[in-house]
Amino acid sequence: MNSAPSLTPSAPLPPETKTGTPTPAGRASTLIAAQFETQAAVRQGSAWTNIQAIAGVVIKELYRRKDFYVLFILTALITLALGSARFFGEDGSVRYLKEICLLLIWIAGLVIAITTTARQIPAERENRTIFPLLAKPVTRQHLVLGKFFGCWLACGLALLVFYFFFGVISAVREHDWSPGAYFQILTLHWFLLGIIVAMTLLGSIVFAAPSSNSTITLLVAVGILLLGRHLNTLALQLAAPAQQIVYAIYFTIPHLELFDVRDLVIHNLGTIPWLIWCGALGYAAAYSAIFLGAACLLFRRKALN
Amino acid sequence: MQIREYLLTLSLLGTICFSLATYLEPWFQHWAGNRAQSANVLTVALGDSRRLFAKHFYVKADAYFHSGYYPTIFDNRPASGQMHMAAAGAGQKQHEEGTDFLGQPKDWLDAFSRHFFPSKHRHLGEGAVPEHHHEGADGHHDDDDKGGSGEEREVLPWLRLSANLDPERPETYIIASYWLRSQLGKVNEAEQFLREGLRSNPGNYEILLELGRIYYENRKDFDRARNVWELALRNRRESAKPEAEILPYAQLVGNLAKLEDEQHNYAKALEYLDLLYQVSPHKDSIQKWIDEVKAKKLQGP
Amino acid sequence: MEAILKIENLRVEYRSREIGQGVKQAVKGLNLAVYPGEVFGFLGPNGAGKTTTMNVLLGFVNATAGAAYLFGVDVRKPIARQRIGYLPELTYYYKFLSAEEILRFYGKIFRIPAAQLDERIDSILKLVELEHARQRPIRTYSKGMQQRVGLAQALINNPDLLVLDEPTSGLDPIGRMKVRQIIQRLKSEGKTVFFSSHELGEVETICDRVAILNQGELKAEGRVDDLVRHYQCANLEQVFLKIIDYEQAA
Repeated sequence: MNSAPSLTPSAPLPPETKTGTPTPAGRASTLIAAQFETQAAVRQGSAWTNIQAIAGVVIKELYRRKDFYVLFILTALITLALGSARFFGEDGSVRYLKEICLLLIWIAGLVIAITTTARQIPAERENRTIFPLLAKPVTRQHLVLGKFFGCWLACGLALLVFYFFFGVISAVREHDWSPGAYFQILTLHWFLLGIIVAMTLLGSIVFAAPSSNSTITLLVAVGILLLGRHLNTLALQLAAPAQQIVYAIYFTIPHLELFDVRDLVIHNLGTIPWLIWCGALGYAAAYSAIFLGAACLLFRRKALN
Repeated sequence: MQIREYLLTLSLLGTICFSLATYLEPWFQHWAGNRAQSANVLTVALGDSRRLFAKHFYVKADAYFHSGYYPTIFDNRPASGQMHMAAAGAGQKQHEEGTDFLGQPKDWLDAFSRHFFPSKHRHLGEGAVPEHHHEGADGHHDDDDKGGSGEEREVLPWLRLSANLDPERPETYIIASYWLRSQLGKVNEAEQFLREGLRSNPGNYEILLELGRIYYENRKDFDRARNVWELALRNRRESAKPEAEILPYAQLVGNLAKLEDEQHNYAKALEYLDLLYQVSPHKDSIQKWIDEVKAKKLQGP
Repeated sequence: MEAILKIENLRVEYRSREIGQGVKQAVKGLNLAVYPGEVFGFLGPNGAGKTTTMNVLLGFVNATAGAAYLFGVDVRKPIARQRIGYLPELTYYYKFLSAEEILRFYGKIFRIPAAQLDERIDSILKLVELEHARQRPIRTYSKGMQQRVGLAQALINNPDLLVLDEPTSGLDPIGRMKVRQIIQRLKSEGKTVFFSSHELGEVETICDRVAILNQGELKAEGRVDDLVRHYQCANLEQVFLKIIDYEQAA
């Protein structure tokens, strides 16, 4: 009985049979050695390939469901209906239209991001599609990251459509448009949705039901958007230890309201300094990474069924 | 047996329900809170909560006037809390106090966040951030400060919506009318809107004051302006409201005094100036005006 | 001969969901080896630990103790699954994708070059007789068609080891025959097949060796005819029942 070949990349391959065709044993040993030779190269390349492949499936899913189209059509119809209104015989008002259109875009963005992301991993587990996927050389981390990038990119594509519509409407009414400001609001909104997608993914691993995850994430997101900026003001009015608790929350939560620059666009107040804009994107990337890291850690030990 | 019991129970419950409905229906028809009596869709749908929405949209119009720079319920602001669109409310000092509600940044996050929302005081129609506001004795902005760009039209949709939701807010009609006639040149629409406000708020002296201004400033119909302002004054005196609403009263008597002065009715002008002197904080300038009118009266026609 | 699949002293425990039951041992000290080119049947009654063992091999579940290797690589490393194909018992795939899209998706994960992937998809769809429905979304497929999609995705990377969990479950006799034919064809190509099944008649026909598991322990292992002779039974089914009954009687 031949001893098992040494499992190092430099180990010689076992000899083939006299006929020149590899025996099953020889074939297995060849495979094992080849495995190690390619292991390093495959590991580097396959992570991003896996993430890309999984993200592609998520994007396909979003655009084959009706949610996005329904939301877009609703937004467009409401905006166009309101745009046809005249107040006191004056049809030059545009800011109210921009505000309502942006509000609808924000609502649609939140709905798309949260509902799409909340069902990703639970659906994989419930439908058992996670098993054939993880039976491939795909790790759980690849799955989480792939879902994140898929949902985030899908949100980005949706936002592109929404903001294009918004840009057309405001350009037609205002006879002017500000590409810098529109680019900033789009990118900031997209990165905000990145934080929310990451938060929802983490929630989908913590909470069993997508509905509870969606509700909690939506409440947290809306709560931060409305109150996040004012927590420090609130803390000043409280006594210890409540003050310390509120301050801790203030400095810990991701300040989603930073990415809400609708008022700047509505009132044509120009662009944010580009360095500040970069800082905001970096802030979003950092928080997204924290949530994703936590999601990957929690998912490592999670039972799949 | 079981099915019979279920059917009997259901019949009993149905009978009780119908009896209750028959008993309550006449009472409901006469109930003051019966929204179904209203022809207004919003009244039926929202009930009294429409007033909350009306207030919200009125505040939104004010926020639009300030290009988004507006305090929230968490920010410090003057106790008066008056909206100062069209300077129909606060004087200069109050306006300046009310504008610096943000204060210094409390921490690095606060400082960073100020780049992402309007954090400088500006009005619609103004280019740069104004240092001071120039206001006349009656609280109006000087003509020099009017932007004249027509941007003030942006507040109109919210004022229209606020008026639809709560027709019983006179200030909505007054403010909208001011911008329509003074900045947008829509005098007819302004008058129409004020008359709509009068239908919902019969005899409201503030609306009559603004209506009088249309006749005085825009239509140059001084007799009609006088009639409307005198009616406003009578209604104000007969009104049961508290005396806190000093500013509109001061504007009313001030306008009447100015009108009579220009129409050479010096006796009447002096009467109104006396009333103005009692309530105005600018007693020196009022006294100077009184002296000028007295001098003109002495000079004769 | 080096084993292509190797399990050493595998123990898998989990906390029972029933109150007061404590820790349950699903697999107790399992030792198993599968050699290249053979068709290996993994048998046992329900709850014997077959699925748990497969879950460990595929990296779904971590072992409490012991080790498992695929091609000499620890199963906890994703690279161990580079050369295997897996067909789960319950076949569910993304309903909104078509068969071709699913295969393309999995092919991308295996980093199969695009041109080669196109050829493989064509040949596999022909093999599983799904060419006519390749563009239709999976939600329009029958159960048998979905099972064949499962087989197709298990073969997309031309694996050297196929792990099949109840491959004929829920199929009609024609479907079962086709699966048997595919397994035999794969065997003739030198592939190794490791599968669990309750269809002992089929197992007897196509398997080279079998292992019988009961209550997490390996009870018997070897060639079918050797086991039949050893236990003095007429067929594999009787061997199976004898082992299980023997255990229950004991």
